[in-house]
Amino acid sequence: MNTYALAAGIALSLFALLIGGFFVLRYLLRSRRKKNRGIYAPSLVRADKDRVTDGEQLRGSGSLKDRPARQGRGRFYAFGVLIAAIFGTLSVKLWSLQVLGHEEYVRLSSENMTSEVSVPANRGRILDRNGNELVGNRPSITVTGKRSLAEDTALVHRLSLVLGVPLGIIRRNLLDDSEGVQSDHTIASDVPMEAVAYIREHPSLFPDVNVESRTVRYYPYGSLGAHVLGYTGPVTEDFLASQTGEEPIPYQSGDSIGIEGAESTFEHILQGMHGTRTYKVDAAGNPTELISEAPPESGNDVVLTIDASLQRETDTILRDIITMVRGDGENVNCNAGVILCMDVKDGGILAASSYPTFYPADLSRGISTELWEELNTEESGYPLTNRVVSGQYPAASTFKLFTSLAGLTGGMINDDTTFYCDGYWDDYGEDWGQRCWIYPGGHGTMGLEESINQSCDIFFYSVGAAFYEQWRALEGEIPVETERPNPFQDYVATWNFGSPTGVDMPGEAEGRIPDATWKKDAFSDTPEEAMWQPGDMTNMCIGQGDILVTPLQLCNGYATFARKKAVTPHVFSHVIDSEGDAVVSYTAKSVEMQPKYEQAHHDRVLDGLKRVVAREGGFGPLPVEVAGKTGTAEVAGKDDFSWFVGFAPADDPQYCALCLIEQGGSGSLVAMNGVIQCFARLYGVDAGEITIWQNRNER
Amino acid sequence: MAVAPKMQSSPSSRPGSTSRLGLGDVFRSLNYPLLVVALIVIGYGLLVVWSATSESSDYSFNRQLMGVGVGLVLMLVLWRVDYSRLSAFTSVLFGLCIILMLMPLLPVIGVTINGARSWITIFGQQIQPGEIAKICYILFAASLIARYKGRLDSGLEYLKCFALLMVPILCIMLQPDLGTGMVLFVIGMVALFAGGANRRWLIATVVVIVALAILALTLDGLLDTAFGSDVLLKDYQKNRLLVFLDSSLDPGGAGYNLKQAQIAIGSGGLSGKGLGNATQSALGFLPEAPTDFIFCVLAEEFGFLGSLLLIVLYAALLFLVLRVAFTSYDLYGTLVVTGILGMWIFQILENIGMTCGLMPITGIPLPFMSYGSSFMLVNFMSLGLILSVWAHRNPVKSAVSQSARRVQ
Repeated sequence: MNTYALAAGIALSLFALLIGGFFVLRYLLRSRRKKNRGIYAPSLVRADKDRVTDGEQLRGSGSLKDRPARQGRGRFYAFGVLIAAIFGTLSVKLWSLQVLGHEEYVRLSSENMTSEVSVPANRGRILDRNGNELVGNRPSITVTGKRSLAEDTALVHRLSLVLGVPLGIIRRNLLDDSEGVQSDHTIASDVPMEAVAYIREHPSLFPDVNVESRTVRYYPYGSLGAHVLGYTGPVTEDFLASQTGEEPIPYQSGDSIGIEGAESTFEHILQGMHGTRTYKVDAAGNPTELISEAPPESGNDVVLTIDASLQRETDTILRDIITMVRGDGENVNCNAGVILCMDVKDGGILAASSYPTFYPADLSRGISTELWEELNTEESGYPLTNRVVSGQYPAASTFKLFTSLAGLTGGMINDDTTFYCDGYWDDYGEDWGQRCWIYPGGHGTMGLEESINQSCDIFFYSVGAAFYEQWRALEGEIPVETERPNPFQDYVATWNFGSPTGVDMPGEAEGRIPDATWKKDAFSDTPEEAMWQPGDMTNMCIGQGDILVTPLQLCNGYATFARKKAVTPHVFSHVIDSEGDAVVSYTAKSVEMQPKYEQAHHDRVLDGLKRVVAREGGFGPLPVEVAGKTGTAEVAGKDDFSWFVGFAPADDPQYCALCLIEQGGSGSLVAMNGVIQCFARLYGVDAGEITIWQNRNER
Repeated sequence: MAVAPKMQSSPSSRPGSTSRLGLGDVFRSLNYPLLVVALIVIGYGLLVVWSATSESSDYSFNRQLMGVGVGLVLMLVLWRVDYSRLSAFTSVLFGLCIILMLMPLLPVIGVTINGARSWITIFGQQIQPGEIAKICYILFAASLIARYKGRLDSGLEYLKCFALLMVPILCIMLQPDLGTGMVLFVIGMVALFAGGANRRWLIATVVVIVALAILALTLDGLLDTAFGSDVLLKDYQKNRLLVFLDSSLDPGGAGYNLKQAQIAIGSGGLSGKGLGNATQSALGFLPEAPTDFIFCVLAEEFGFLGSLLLIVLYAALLFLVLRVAFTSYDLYGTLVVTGILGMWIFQILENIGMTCGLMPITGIPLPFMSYGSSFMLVNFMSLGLILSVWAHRNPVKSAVSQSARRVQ
């Protein structure tokens, strides 16, 4: 109340008191002189004094007209007028409330008594090509509470005792903001029934502690194919705020959303639609009766091209190889790798293993800050990275397949082209000398097939030099080097290097096919080094230098070669609805950029690839002929990376497999073992012990 | 006719004493229209209370029925008693009033509900003595004012009467029970008004009361800050007043009741949701539905037509009561009946008025409708007194028949 109102109120009441006082005074003065007549007729007023005696009082005569109230009728009629006025006013007010304002109050009344509860929909499952459940759902009893509960020490102690979870963990879970500051924080998941019963029976001991039955993602095979499957997490407050309301799937707080892998790529298929239940509620908000229900629509299941049993095999092989290489003592830094297996016919990915890996279940419950930090350290080897699509590496000798085809198509390699290898190549002078891997020895006179087989670097340096000269010859027509066409790079790009393959896995890297333009940009700070040199070209031709490929690009390149046609690699097979009917199937997108080469060239290169494997004894017990290529990538400051990529059967390719062991050391057989084991599994034979110790110095 | 003056000097030996009348006279002395209307209102009230209490374990419909039963007996007893005998007990009634109002303040039997010490527990029954005291107060006020024979002119006498009438009100404010206090104040003022108090005094009283009320409201904030506690008005009382002036001030707290009450009334519409379909009270949005907000239940279930029916019944009842006041043989009877009339008018106005936002919210029950046996007894006793005034309206006829009988 402000000062003015106060002053006005006091003034008004003082004024009223004055007026009242005036009347009192006036009456006291007047009444001395003149007696008031009173309201009742004098005939009835028998006592002429104001003093009264007990029992004596005003009475009427026998006639009804003489009754006291009739005498004072003015005042009694006032009661009648009052009654009529009051009831008239009440009736008008009720009319306005009940008849005129009816609709508005009915709306308020139903708003009062109904409450809509959102019913979460089940997320679709992820299945492998044979219908095995890779990701499912399972119920989990979860205890949740607000962040502020962490301040109640006694409560945290009680929770710790009942749930059997250490104090620190409970406090940390309550304070962790990964689920959003506003939402309820998960205190413990998969709580045993006894603990739930205790909490429910003692609500006064656990104020504001909720027990919820939630549906959580379930991964029957643990970490199997973790990078392909990805994981889910709660939608963030920012994401919810960014919704416009026009989306086909409206998200609500507490919903799960795919964050990585197939969970993310196929989010629109997997995510279901919330249902709504309308309850009649009482004033305390407790539902008393179900009025209507719109059932939730479960998300559809996604079937992948992944073969779970092969995936498990490749996961295991990869882990075993890396463990053995580390145990060997020579390459203790070996800590990561990739095995990838594709169906050559349609580009479907059968298995994609990336090591180190993680457990999606740990992440789908909401990632604690601690776990997140742990998964993003150099020591852990960044297990969340899907090296299949995100890792970029020098392709090394495996790239010679594409150099060969470029040379054959470009006319640099003819039927009788040979180069002499003495282990050292100095066509551009002593200052630019480059070694073959076999240096200080030499391969002697080498043709194409044998150069592929023995991976002779000199042969491909020479091809690269020819391309460089072709490019430099354009100087007369186009003096600016970054504007000239790049015959080699342009040809290689048709094999889908330097650009994403378009695979349906998130986080795909582009790779890099360097050229003069790229180098000028990359070395813009040191212009003296920014010129495109012959060494850049020759290095690229053996897959070294600045070239970067992803394992998927390389495997896809070999599969394209094997089937003589480019298709988009994919993990998606089809969608099945809740009745188990396939509703959407994979339709291959036609790839416009098709590599060009002649059949004769294909046969010559294939011959070289066959020789590589034949030299190693034809992959032992495999019933089919394998064609492939080894590679040893040199990475500055690290041990060599070991590659092998191949396909089988060589003449009617069905499968294409790739193995990369980061810092596996020189000697490409380390990686070759991954591919052998993969093919052995596919053809149902026992490849025996991993034999990485042979030919450690072979390229 | 010669008998009459003689009788006047000694009311105890009044010719209208009913004990010597025959059975036919007894039933002829009943005010049938009044009784019929009252019974319809009571029946209507029982129906609504039954509906409002059927879902709740806090209230017992049987207890309400018991109140009606006991009330009917009390009514019949009072009807047969000559009301004018009570006019002699002015000081006794005054003492009884004060005792009843101070009873809840006693230890052991006193019970505090919602911050007001207004109940006592006797033999396991909870009784609100303040309600019973209303009857005593009406009788006391009537007998006090009737002594002045319709001419209360002297300022000193007026002040004396006013002061005596205020004493029980101050006692009830100790509980504190503002609602009952207001009802008693209205009864007292009606007694003064109908009792022939000088117009100037009445106007002066009203002006002073209004001025004091404004002063109390304005000074309350100042005093609260000066003494650090609620000195004059409780915070919730001030809130109710402020909310009455602007209901959007506190929609969650004091405004909540008003808003929910209006939703209940408004959603009833023209013909209502039907018996037992009052969602506002059944689902607990409406607090104290069977007691203070019983009208909302009626309005929600029976709509505007049902509300209007009640209002028409009430109006009929009150006009019939006014008729009794007009025909009362003596001023005492007139004042008793007008006191009861004033009580009912005010309670109906305040109760229905607060539910539709015309009056500030106060806990005052609706006559014959609200759940609560104490007030039900008060209403039946009032009805009994009115019937008694009606039955004894015609002393001459009775006296004639009596003397005729004596001659025989």
